[in-house]
Amino acid sequence: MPTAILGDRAAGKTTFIGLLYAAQIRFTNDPANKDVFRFYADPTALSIIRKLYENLKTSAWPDGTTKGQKSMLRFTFGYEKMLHGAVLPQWMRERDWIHPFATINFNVYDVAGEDIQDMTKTPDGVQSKKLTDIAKSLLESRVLVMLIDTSKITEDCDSDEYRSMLEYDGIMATLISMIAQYNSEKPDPKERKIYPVIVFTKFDTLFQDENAVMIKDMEIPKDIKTYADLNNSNIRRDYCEKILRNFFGQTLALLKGGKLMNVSFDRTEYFFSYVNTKFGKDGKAVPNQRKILDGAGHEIDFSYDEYARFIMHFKKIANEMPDGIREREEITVTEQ
Amino acid sequence: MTLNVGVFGSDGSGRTTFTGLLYMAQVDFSNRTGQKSGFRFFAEPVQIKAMQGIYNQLRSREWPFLPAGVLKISCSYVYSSGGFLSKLFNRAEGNTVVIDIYMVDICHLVGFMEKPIYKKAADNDVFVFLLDASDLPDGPVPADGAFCSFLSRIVEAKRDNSGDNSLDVVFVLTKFDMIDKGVFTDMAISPIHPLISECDKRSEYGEKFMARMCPKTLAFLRDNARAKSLFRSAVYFFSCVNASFDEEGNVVPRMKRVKGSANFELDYTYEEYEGLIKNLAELASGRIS
Repeated sequence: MPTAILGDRAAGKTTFIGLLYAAQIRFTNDPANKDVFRFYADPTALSIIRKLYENLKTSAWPDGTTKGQKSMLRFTFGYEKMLHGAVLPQWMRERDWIHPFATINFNVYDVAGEDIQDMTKTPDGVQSKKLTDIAKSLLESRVLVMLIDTSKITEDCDSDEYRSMLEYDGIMATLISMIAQYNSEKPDPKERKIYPVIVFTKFDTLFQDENAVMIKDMEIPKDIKTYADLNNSNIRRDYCEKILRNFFGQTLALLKGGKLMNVSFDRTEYFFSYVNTKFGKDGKAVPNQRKILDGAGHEIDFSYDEYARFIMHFKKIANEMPDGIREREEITVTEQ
Repeated sequence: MTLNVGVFGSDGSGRTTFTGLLYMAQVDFSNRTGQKSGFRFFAEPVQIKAMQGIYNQLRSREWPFLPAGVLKISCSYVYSSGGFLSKLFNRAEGNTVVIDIYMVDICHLVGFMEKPIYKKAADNDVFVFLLDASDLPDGPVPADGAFCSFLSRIVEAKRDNSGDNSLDVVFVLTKFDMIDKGVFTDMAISPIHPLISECDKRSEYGEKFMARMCPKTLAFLRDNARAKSLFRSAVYFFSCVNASFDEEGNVVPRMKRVKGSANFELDYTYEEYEGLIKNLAELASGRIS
């Protein structure tokens, strides 16, 4: 299942990838999840991802990657198929033809205004209906993971931050419109179904003292711990839609509007990402490390439960993959 | 059922601001009413980008302008009843409203109607005309003649059509806040327009403006209605963006705090735009019955 991770410049994509990598290590190595989940990245991608992880583990923020590097950031999640794990004997499970894992292939994209322009530009810079390869790969994605940098939310309508927030809202809405238009022509209704995921990055910054009135006006809980315990996805959706309604209204409206093109974005799932911080030697906030509760050593102090939930959410999606998409993915792998 | 709506106006009638406010109202209405209301809004990427440009300017407290070369802006919405069929087929089943906003001056449009982009202009079910209400003291506006010629062309084009020919006309009086209070006193009418729910009073109120600004168009529509011909009674809406002074003393769009909202919102006549959206939805459903 092709999946796009999208975010504005400095939306926290590299930190998100680093944390997702940290979370998958912990999740994979948890005895309770034995054989359920697998992670793979090719050596080039892994060399970038592991550096992000190493930075976080050594209480440093990951370096921002360059535009070229992001297109190399690809990795795969695999989920053991129910039938495979429960019923089949060991000898059969070891055969290649069984396809024991349902996979999700992640690609990371930078999404800024000029990138949307680029999507309909030919190499000679002429505006055209012909799509570039990156655009096509993005538009073919069945899952959209959109990162929203919570630290950029502002109600100061005279500020530059406010303008860039509006612009990002517009970019997301345009992208949703493009994806809806592109997929509307597909004959199979299952292939017209898109799974949107919204991750609020730097979510802890929303609960700073200066935002107290904003939180109250939005009628959402003011304690970040409440969100960590939110297992009811309807309540979670309700809170998140309140944030979107206030600050990213176009994105929310277009997510609903995709259905007019017979492309459904209706079941948006929401996740919260944050890293607890401490003051570094130079007085700046750096990622905190905490003692591992049931073992030795330290681990990154971040919203692990949200990332574990994120990993499990993709299990459901992977198992719903339409056959057409699975066949196309297999052909692509063979061609490579 | 698809209801085709064309929006027309002359230069200075507020087409760009109207486009931005309609987009804003559609986004707000979609988000305020929630998933269960059945209201869904969509526009193609190119159209979304054009509308966003205007939307962003308004929300950044700037009067909007469109880059040269934009001839028409389109969007659509559906007012779906939800229900079993909608869920079963994963479609937004319901009445679709397709809106085309023509950015060319109506005075020129009549001469260009053979061009492919404008060919469909006369082929709508609902015609929305924008009128700058601040022109009220000057008497009949130049667009009056253009509206009449345009409506005559539609009558001509539809004459041979044996199907359901009834068409609807909507007038949106823009820049309503810019009318001098004295003008209302002269006309012996209230500066506050009747509420959306007061349909009859609104028609009466709107016609007083039309009698002064577009007497020919009003006479044309009255004659047409009397003959039970093509056009049904016109509906009126009133649009304005309230303004304030910025730090440099310029008049800019005003933002306001809305109860239950954390963000500042543009201070405009949202209820009027919501009324227009609902009115178009009613017209679409009326056509089915």
